[in-house]
Amino acid sequence: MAANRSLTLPYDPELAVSDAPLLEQSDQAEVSGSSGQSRQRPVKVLAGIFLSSLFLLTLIWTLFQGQEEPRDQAQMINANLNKSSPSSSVSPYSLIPASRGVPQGVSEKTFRGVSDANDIYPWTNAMLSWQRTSYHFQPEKHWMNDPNGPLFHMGWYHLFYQYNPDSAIWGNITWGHAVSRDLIHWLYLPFAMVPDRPFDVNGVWTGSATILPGGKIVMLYTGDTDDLVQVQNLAYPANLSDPLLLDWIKYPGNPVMIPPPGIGKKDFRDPTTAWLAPDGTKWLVTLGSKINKTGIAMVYETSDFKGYRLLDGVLHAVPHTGMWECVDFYPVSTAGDNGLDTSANGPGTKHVLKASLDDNKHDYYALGTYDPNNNKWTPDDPELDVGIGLRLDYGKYYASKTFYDQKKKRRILWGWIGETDSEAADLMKGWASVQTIPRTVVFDKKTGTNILQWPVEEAESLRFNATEFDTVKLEPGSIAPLNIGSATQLDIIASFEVDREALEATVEADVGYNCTTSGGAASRGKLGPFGLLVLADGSLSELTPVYFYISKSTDGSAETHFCSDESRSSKAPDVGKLVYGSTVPVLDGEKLSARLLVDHSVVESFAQGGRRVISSRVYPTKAIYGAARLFLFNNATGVSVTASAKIWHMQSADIRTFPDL
Amino acid sequence: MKSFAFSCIVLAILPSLSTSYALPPLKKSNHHIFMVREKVNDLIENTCRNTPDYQLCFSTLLSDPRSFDADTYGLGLIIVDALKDKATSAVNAINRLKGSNPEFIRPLIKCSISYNAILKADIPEAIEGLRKGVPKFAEYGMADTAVEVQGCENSFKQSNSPLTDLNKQVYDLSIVAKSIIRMLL
Repeated sequence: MAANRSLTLPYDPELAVSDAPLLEQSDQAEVSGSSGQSRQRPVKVLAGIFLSSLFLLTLIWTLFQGQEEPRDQAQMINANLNKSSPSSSVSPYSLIPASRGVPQGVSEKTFRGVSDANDIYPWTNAMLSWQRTSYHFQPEKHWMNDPNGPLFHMGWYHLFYQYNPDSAIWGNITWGHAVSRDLIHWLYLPFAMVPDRPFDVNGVWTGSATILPGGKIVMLYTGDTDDLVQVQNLAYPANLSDPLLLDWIKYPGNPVMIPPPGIGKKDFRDPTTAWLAPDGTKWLVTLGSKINKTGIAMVYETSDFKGYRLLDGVLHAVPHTGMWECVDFYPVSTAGDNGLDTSANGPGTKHVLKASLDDNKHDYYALGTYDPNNNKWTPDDPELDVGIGLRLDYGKYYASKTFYDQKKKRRILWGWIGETDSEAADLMKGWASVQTIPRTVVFDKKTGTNILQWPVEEAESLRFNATEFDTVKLEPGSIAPLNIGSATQLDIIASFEVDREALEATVEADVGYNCTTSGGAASRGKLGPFGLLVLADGSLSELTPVYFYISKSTDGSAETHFCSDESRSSKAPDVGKLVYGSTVPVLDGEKLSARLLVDHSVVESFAQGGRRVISSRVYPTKAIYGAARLFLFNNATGVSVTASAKIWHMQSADIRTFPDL
Repeated sequence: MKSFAFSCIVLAILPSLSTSYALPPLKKSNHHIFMVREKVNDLIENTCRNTPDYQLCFSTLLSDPRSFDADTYGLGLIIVDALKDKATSAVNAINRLKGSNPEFIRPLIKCSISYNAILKADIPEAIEGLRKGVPKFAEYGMADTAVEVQGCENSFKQSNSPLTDLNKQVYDLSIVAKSIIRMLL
């Protein structure tokens, strides 16, 4: 925006002050009145003294006058400036509320993606209580964000999490704690850590656990100090033989890492799990930061987790990606099907480097090769580098973190799903945020270019009442209701086959298609969209399509897109209405397949065995409780689709407080 | 008598003179009382140029003496503070309007809910995020403020909202705050 030079100088609130009425007139009157009685010569002296003091008082008073009411002055002056120079007022806010079109300001797309804030919806208790999930992890109330320090110890999976014990917004952050035998049935425990030391009094923030050979556990976490500096701290269990790890000790010598030279005091957070250095005795740990707008991951070396040495250079950096939060760094096996311990390296492994980008609130990852001797990780494909390539999840998802589950030899991924409704609604319902169902992470051997994520198999223990639908033929523009009864807690596995002849006959279709700009499932193309309608009411006044869309270019190559469409998910105007998604690799001979976990206001959708994942939040007003339905649909114009689906109802995970503690 | 009159005149003129020029001995920036800015702070200038409402940003920052020593986080906090003042005024206006017009009953309830969210959630979250250097939460708070305030304004049908001025001021400040917060990401 071009600056209007006439506004810059010499604006000065204190200049305006000289016009302010001065007290001294009445004072002067008083002064001369009281001194009028005396004789002449003493009068001169007295007058002189009084006038000098008056001068001083006036000076001080007028200058204070300038201080006291600067805002009124500023507004007055601002108003005058507005009158005189009608140019630069760029506020797009519409002053005429009768214009029901999307106000210009909103088309700027507020961060929460609300497209039409015409009104605050009158949420009822019934609508809000319905939104609580049944089998996703969330505290009983209040705010949660990043998952922290996940680990497995003595038969229990542990989850810690950023938590505000006081309110449904971020603040006063403590470490919540919960345990589970199976990553699904969680039991709340008392807080693991609260902000009670100078090195974390302003926040006990995100951290990771490292399990040392022999079972010792160390936790590294970010503390926000009493001076509002971000530092890394060490904590460890008070009693390692306590399977519940109830009590934690903060190392008295904290902090163990402080922002190094060249790194901002507010740009230093989220240490990872450590891995063994090549020498086999020292440990390495990484955390993210930024230098100007280049996101980086720095590496520290330690032998005892108390003293740290910053390694030269950076593990990796990508320009224009901004601050890297919640960095994650771990190996995946290219040959086997198991997860790998964080210290694994060598032939048959690739390393995943992941960052949460502060700039756009998305989690990105890339596959590459780690050279520990040179402290360098190199992406397989620099065009799909961290922050500019693949996302872990194309929906509402952030701050994810993995851990190695030594019990079942899996790499498990946690991720935070925030709210996309208004804060007013969050305050009303008294809580905000859920965690994803934990996902296993493996290398996709078929494509070689991505990982696969899949809900942990323990989630299947919640399934009951399966219903199968085989080879449902969907002509162009058709909808098939799936009568399964209640449709708010579901596990759905569906596959779709597009009529081959029609697909091959179609020369060109929707080349520039992009889920996010498509307008959703209402935008019909020759070869899409088709898929499922979840959390839909009978009259389809509210619906959430999760679908595939095939686009084809003239050279004959087809691209498959996988999208989750919130644009008509709710009548309420004050909720997110975005269409999420991306392209998904589909190999020859593969059907299009999707798995959906529907759990009230959360939908997690997995395409092609987990090649692409989308987490959505939806807040219907009608399609809730018994009114929610499930449909198959085909809104393509040029092709019919044959669908099959197996649908289970999902029990509640009965997440509650650990009994008898 | 002449010298007396002369000194009176000088003494009368001096106050207005002193506010026009910087008093040389006090170079330390702490003594704002005696300082008049000859040259606007570069950071304020550059920050405001990058917001969608230069005038509002500039005047709000300049009228708060804390802006002279502030970094970008501090400038953001000043805007949020100004927004808090305006939001408080809006709540007072809402309370004064209650019972004034039956057509306003429903919209005022909605506005109360909106402004409650702004004052209890959005602003505290923005302040926390800015103070502690996790700007994304501050951005959430300011983005939501814009949504809440539009919801309040639009709940008055037929464009007869008595809160338009205040709503607009809150909205405009939230946009400025959000763009400053963006610079920190």
